[in-house]
Amino acid sequence: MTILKFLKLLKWSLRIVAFLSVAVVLQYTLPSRDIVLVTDTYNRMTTIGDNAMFYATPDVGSNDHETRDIRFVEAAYPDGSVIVYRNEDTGWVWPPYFKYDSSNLQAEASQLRSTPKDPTWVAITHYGWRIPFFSIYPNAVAVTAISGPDVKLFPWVNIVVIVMIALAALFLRALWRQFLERTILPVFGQARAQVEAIEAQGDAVAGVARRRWSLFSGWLGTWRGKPRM
Amino acid sequence: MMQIIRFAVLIVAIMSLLYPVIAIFSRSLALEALERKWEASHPGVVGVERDNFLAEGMAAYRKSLRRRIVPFAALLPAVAVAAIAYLVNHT
Repeated sequence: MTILKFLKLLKWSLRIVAFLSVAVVLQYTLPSRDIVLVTDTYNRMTTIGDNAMFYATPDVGSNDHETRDIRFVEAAYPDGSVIVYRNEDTGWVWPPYFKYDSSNLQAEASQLRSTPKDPTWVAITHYGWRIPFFSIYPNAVAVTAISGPDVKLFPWVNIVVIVMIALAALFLRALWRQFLERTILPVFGQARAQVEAIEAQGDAVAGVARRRWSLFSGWLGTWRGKPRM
Repeated sequence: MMQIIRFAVLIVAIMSLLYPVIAIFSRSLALEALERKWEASHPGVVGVERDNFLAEGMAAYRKSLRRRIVPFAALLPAVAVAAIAYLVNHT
């Protein structure tokens, strides 16, 4: 494998890894809505360990491995399978939901509680993943009553956010290109012009040298009996 | 409370880096457009006339609506945060 092929492969691998990382982060962070019925709401003392990055950020100065009271919402899908959401304030940096109404949300969820026999269908907006092995839960953001389990929900928010991110990326790219074109490349252009000037000078010097050398070798030739040029 | 302050400081820090960059970018685009315009009407002509044309154009740019709108870009993050917080918590 030539080095060029290797570099090309490396470039594409890096691109794919970057694309996948962005996709995974977006899939975790962007809201999605489940159609479920809320079966129970409660809070439970929860010990957070190495999975802390999937929980709300604790306040500065508190221990990473801590036990705290977290609100949970238990729910069931129309097909009977279950899901458990946590209901925590997000804090102010990441993920950027700026959610501070967890108590109200818990009250709303409690109000909408129902049983599979007499279901009240709700759409729970949430982000995050439920991975039982790591004890991580999606964070519920909003709960709204809907007319039935067959309602079709269109992900407007996700489309708007992804379009905004794409626009921001294009803006930054245009910004970088402008900087490159107007600020960096002109410097190289000047450097190049200087190099060319030096080269031209060098050529002139070399031409003189060549002429002198031919005179000298012609003079040498007179000693060897070679015919003069 | 500390979290909000930290977040505000972060945003101010990011925007005080980003805002000058955006302002320079906008200026640079305006100058480039003027240069293109000159090149289209006076191909190959350089010198005092061109310098004057560019200087006048940039003076007009400094008074333009676009130049006056640029500072509002610095407010965008705050507006976005307020909008998201409102939608998440109060609707």
